[in-house]
Amino acid sequence: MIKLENINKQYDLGTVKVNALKNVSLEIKRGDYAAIMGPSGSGKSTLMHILGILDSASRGKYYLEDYDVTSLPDREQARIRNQHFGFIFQSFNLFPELSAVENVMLPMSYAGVAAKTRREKAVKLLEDVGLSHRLTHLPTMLSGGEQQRVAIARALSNDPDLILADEPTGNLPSDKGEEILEILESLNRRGVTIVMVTHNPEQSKRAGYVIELRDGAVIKESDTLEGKDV
Amino acid sequence: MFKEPYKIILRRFRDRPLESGLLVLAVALGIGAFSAGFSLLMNTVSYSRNLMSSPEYKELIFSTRSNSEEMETPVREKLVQETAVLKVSDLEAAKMAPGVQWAFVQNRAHLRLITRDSQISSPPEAMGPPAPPESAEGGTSKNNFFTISDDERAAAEKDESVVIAELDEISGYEVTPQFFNAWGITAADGSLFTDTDLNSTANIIVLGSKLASLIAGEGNNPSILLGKKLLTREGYQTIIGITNPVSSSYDSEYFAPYRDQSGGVSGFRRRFMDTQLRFAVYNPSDLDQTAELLKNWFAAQFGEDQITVSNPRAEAMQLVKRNGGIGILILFLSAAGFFIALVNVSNILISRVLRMKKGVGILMAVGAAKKDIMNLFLLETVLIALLGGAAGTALALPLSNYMREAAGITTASWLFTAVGVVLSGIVTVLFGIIPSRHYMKIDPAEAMRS
Repeated sequence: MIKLENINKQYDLGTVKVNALKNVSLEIKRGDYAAIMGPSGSGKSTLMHILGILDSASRGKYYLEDYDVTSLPDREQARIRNQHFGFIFQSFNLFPELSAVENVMLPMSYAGVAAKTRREKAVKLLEDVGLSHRLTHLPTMLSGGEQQRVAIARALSNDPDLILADEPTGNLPSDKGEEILEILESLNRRGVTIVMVTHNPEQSKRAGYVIELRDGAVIKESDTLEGKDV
Repeated sequence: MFKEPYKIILRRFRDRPLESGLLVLAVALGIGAFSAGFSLLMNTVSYSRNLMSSPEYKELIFSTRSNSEEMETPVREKLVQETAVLKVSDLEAAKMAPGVQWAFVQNRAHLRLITRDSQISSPPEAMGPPAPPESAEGGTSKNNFFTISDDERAAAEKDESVVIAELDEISGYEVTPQFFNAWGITAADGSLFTDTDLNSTANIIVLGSKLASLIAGEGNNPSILLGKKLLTREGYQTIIGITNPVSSSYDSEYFAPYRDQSGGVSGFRRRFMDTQLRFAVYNPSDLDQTAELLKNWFAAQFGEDQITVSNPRAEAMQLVKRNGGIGILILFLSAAGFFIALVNVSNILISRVLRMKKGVGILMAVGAAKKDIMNLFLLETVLIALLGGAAGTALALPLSNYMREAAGITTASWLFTAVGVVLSGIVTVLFGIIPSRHYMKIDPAEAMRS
């Protein structure tokens, strides 16, 4: 599904040039549940942004379903993010001005879905994550776990092929974090590809595939189910 | 109703009432001041243009020196013995100046009417000064007072051919026929008088359209007055014509033929000292040259310093220049204020961009293209421009009205204020594009990290 070839990302900080990613090559297949591990500053988030086409590589190729997306125009990249990707962030990133249901409707408005359909689908998604009683609540009125479940519902609103989750349990107590992981795992069982950034080795073990980064380079790729390096 | 991205912007606007209010107020003050200044200048230009195209400002006025200066100079200080008397025949001077289109006399005059209630049994002298012939305003041309007894008036009231108006006095002009040509006045009913009428002694008058309607009375066709005799203290005046409306004060006035010998006191100089000869030129640019030619002619006729010439256009031009200068200054100041307001608005909008940076990143993550982001925040600018424009219009209307009145502009078009508001609204939106472009430069990955 996704293939990265020799991805390099260099940040130019005036006199200093920082290599955030160095020759990263990896492949994520449809239906994978991949975890990206690594210490702070290892390039996890940069890799995540490049995977989500929120950032572009300084060098290298990014193929999505065999299409090179690195040179696509902005409008086309936005369409791919909207139609094929779903993002889940550590700090939820809900819009405080919008109610729970409106936050979930937001990506669908960019997909040109009619208002009535948007609302019906958003309500259904919120019911699926157990928030049918919180539809019109603003994010500030929701707990952290509830906010993250709204964020998951939002990520699912356009039936994405790939969920990119950047430390989705990082701001949650362990029991709420567990709920979120279970939701992600159930999505994976339904065929949604999941790529999750995490610090937590326990969580990474639950993924089928782990990519370990250090200083911008992939130091290890392992298949956790089979317990061997790939 | 609105799509979710627009809801974010509208609710952000609503949830920050102080900041949003200040933005709208700054825009309103800027738009209000600019459109009022713009309206003032445009109205000044338009008014001046109309004013200068009036026949009045294509004229040169020749009068005896005493007439023009007598209010200012005590008699004992006068060095020149005035002997000049201007007559209709002096209009011949026009032949010497090829630039002259029309030459005529136009003297202010009044007619005092005898109404059904007038006290007339006593002689007119007992009723106060009956339009003395030496009136500075020109007064009436008559000095053989018409007297009528109560019985005669009773008979006149029954006479179908006599008009007794319910007005004490009507004002108008004693003119020579070319006056009508110069002002483009034509007869709607009956006729205007001609040079032939100047040589007769018949008391004839032409009524302005509004005056005719007033005398005829409500519901009556003014044309019923034609051929009838209007009863005045100066005698019966036969109404020979009614003019077409010319949208000026002339519609409410009458016109009688100017005659040198009228009144019969030949050689009574004060009466003729009031006579002003007017020469209207084809082209206003010929005024100075024509004035020189005519002055020379009059100097040859009457001697130096006997006749003065007045050029109303030159005097009006001074006023037009002053008003235009004030208009430009006010527009400049208001435009400067508007610009400062917009720079501040732009700055506040940019700071809103920076605060919204992460939100922009999230919007892009869920599918917004850079252009969508720009359009979204342009909506905010348009909203501010619309609200500011509405408040600015409410401010501009009384402000421009006040400034216009202060500048002495009597006719104005609201269109200029509207154009000013639209122009400044467009400029506000253009200024709003600057911060919107900042959104386009935001790197979503960097925004997500913020």
